[in-house]
Amino acid sequence: MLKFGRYIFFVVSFFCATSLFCQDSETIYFEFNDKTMAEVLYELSISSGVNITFTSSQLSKKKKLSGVYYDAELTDILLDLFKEEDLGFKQVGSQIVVFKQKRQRKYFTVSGFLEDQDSKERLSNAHIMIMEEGIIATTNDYGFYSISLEQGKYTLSFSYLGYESSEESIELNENVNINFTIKQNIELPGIVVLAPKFEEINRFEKPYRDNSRTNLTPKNKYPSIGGEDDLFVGLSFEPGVQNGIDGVGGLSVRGGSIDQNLLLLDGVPIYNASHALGLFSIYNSDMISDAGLIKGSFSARYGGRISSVLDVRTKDGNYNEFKLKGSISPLMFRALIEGPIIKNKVSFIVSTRRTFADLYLPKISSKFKEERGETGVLDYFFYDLNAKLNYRIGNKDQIFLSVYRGNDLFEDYTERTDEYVNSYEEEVKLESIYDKNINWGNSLTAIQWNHIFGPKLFSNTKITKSEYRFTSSDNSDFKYTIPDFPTIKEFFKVNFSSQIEDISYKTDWSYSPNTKHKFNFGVGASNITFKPKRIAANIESNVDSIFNLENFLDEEIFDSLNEYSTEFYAYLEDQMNLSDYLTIDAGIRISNYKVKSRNYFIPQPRISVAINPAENVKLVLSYSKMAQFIHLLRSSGIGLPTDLWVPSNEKIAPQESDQFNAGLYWTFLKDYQLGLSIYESQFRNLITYREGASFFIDDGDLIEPRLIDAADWQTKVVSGEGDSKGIEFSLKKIRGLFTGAISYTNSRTTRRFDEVNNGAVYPFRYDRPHHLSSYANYSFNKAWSMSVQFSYATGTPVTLPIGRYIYENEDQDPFQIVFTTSKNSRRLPDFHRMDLKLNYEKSWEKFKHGISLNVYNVYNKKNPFYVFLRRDVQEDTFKLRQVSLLPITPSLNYKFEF
Amino acid sequence: MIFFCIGCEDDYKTEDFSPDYFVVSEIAADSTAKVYLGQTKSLTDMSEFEPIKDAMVSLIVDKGEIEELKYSGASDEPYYKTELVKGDEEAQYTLDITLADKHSLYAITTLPEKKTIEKYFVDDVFYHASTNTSRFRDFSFTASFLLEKDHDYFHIIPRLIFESLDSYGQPTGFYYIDELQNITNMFDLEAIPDFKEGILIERSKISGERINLKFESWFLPNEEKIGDMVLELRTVSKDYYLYHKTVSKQQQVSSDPFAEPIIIYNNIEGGYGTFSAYATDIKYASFPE
Repeated sequence: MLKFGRYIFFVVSFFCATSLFCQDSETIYFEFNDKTMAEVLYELSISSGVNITFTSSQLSKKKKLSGVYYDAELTDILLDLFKEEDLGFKQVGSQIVVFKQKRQRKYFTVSGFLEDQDSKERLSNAHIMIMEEGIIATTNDYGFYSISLEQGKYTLSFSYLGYESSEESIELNENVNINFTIKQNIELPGIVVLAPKFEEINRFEKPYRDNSRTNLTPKNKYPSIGGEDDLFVGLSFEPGVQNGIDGVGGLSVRGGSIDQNLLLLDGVPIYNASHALGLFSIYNSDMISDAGLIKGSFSARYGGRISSVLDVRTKDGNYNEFKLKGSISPLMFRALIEGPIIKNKVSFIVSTRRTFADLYLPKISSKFKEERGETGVLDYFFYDLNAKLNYRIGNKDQIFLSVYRGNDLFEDYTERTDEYVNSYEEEVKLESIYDKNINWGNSLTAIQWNHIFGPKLFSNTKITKSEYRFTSSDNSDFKYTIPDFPTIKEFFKVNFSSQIEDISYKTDWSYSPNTKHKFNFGVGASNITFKPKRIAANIESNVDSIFNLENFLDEEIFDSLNEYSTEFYAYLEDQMNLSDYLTIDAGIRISNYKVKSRNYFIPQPRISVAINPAENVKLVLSYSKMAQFIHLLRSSGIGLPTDLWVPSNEKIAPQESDQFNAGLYWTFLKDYQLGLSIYESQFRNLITYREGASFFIDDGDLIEPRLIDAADWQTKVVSGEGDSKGIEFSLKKIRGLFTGAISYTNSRTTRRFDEVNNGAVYPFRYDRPHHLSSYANYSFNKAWSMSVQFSYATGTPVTLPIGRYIYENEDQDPFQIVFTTSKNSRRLPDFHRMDLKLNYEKSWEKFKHGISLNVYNVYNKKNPFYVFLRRDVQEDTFKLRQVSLLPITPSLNYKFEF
Repeated sequence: MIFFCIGCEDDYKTEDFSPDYFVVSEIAADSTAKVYLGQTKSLTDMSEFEPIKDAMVSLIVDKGEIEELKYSGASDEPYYKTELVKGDEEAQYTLDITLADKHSLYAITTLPEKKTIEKYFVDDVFYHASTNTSRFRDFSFTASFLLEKDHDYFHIIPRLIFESLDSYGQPTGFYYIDELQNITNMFDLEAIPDFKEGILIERSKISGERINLKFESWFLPNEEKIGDMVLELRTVSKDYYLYHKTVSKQQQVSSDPFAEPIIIYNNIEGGYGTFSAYATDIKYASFPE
């Protein structure tokens, strides 16, 4: 049978020519089981001996019917069969003709929450399939669902990652509010178990657009540093996603820069989601209930960034009983406690992490420094804390309070002494002291209120505050001792700070009038304060002692440098299920951004069309326009956290992007998913530092110590455009003892600024034409499993000096010029790395524990992170040096849970 | 046991350095064309540069007339030279070089039409109070002139002429020229310190017809007298402007390891360096008493 637009006309001819109404008193026995309407009518025709004529395309092919009629007349049987269908019949000659007719329908709504059976936590983005209709609905971000159906009986099937599927039957004769529960699958966590009917129909998540919302909820599958289950590790296996070098350097999605990703934690934006420069993310996997990455076909409810959205929701806390879990490794300690304050009403959850690096890093680093002829130590420490309080007020309201606090501290102190002979044949003793400190952290607070207005209308209101602060100080002191000469002292100090404070309000509504439409709309506002500052000083600055004090300068002095901006926005979108084969999501987001005297009004249309041309195949086409009102300035050299968050203003327009996306997705052999997509993003109003931009040099002279720089950033930047295009391929095996995935991206991403690279297009720092990532996980049994991952990527583009020549002209003395071909014309060596993990878990009813052995960077590949020129004082020459991060790093990790 | 090493540092292995050729040539109207030709060196090679003396160097004017340049041979003139550049305004000059190993270098530039300084004068002279501790006396002044807007790129070289005085305070007839640095820009100018004491400007970024440059200098009141202010205006090709802009930036920030890298402009096909052109106008203005 063919699907589209073909009508096959069935005429059933029978040996009996007797008209129906000559035998109107004749009754029949008629029974059928699990048949489509067409099959039922065919068999009824045979049983009754009457021709029944119908058009099969007018009949539902999915709905299966069962029934039995004892001594029933044909007309009564037909009336009963058609009572819930848009069908009628009439006698034409000697036969019955079935036709389409509108009948009076009654619709009702079933709504409520889907919860974990044990903890009563609400499950977001879970699937609910209405078996009779073949429709899949999903719970929203707070576990709420709303499905409007015609009056009748239905079977609802529930599915959620890591949970056993279940079915429930309902009879819908009025609006009902039902909370359903499903049970965790403790046998093989991480295996997706779908209900059997899901396999038969096997549609993709209907309200999801083009599979661009990828579920990333960590499930302990991937090898990682120290055995820590990190969300960003899972991200790195998605095509189009780069996670820096060993995580350091930031997240780039589809060629965008790191500031172009909207990173959310319970709806609160995060400005730097990294610990240890990116080795770990701030997302504590124990706290995560749901995590999704969106890199195309953006919903209108997301805005403020132009490349991707990482939407992470935390758990509410167990409403029924107390739980304690944790893990410990030589790198880190984690602990989580959750439980009810009032059972089924008020719950809490608290989780914390702390690294142990500060316990042994100073000793190890001092030995490394000694080998290099230096004294000093290197120290590093981070911690974070998540806490959430939840209060369910009746059936219609819920209030959440969530907080996050985290901080990283890095210190590097080095003393060294060099002795050499200078060009005057003098013996020089140079004593150097280098003292670097970097401190950064996030502070997030969110208050939310969910309210159910009715079975079809849900709202969420939140007030959030996100603060990010980064400070660094870099002090260098030099003492030159030459016999018979006075000692010469020099110093060089830099103090850098970048702070951002974001206070936002938003309300989102979700309205589901029927199964064909779901409207999402909302309004919001945010006020952002930027506090950038930087001070540089050296011996020639004639500074007074204030720069030598620990407390640099007080905050009040820098208040005059702060910048403020305000954004208001509104959005509306409709998720339309037009037919079994066609879904369209269309929406618009309108933002108004105000900074000082300037106003930017930017409408952002979004549209996504999904077509199911065949079973298990989905084709998606989408277009999204996005706008972003803040920028992250970072130097092109290194990628260390010297980043400066700055706002769009009167001179710097907001960033904008247009993204076109097409994808083809296919599920086959039940367990395999194949994805192929192409995209292009065009970026406008990007900013970057102009060539030669320096925070120490101004017109050839060192800048005098004054309150500068952060306010002067606008004079050091230029604006331009960018382009990113690529093809992404992914193959996943999602079920079974063996699971795994391989993804490959072939992409190019470029930038162009009038005053950079002489106005020519150049490869962007995240341009890596080939990127492959893969992992495989095998479960030997319930206890033992093993994982391996391998990644490869083209080397990062860098600007390196190639050589030198002299400017020789009779008008003046010759001088030296260091040259390179063009910006980012060289590449660091290709990156590749393999990691292994061996995992053991054992569970009892009330306790489970496990241990994992992780080997990070199995074959000890030294992947360069950055390259720099180092001056060899003694030989008075320059050498190119590379810094690479983690060598082979084995670790053990022990986990427990009560 | 954990090996946790942040920042493992090693030598970065690059491909073996392969030297290229570089050219430095700025031709001026009504003057001899000179071309310096050499080989680039790696960053770690500190040896002296030696000019290449055995190449075939040609200058082609407007795709027609060809001038062969000969190596001068003099140690203080390591150039390939030819006779006067004729100075046809807006003429296109092509530099074509073939080296002994058959490698070719090629570059094109356009000799711009000479623009002139109009209505040039010195004004707003201000002498700072003299002090008992210093023989020097500071002063400031403004040099003002009209400049048309029909060409984009200029290099302004300001100089001040001093005449030395004898012990009786009488002029000796000996003069010297002092460099000047623009210190107060009335508008956004690119300054090139230590390069021909000049100012490089993009005309389109300056509104209005009149350009005012404020300077500060000093002199020895009992030993010298301020003479004329000399202004040299070079109307330069875009290549000249872009090259010197990037070079000057690199020199400015050479002591800052955190400065953004600078891509030196290069219009030499097959090599590096600069081939550009300019035309000069020089005017004198009396310094007010």
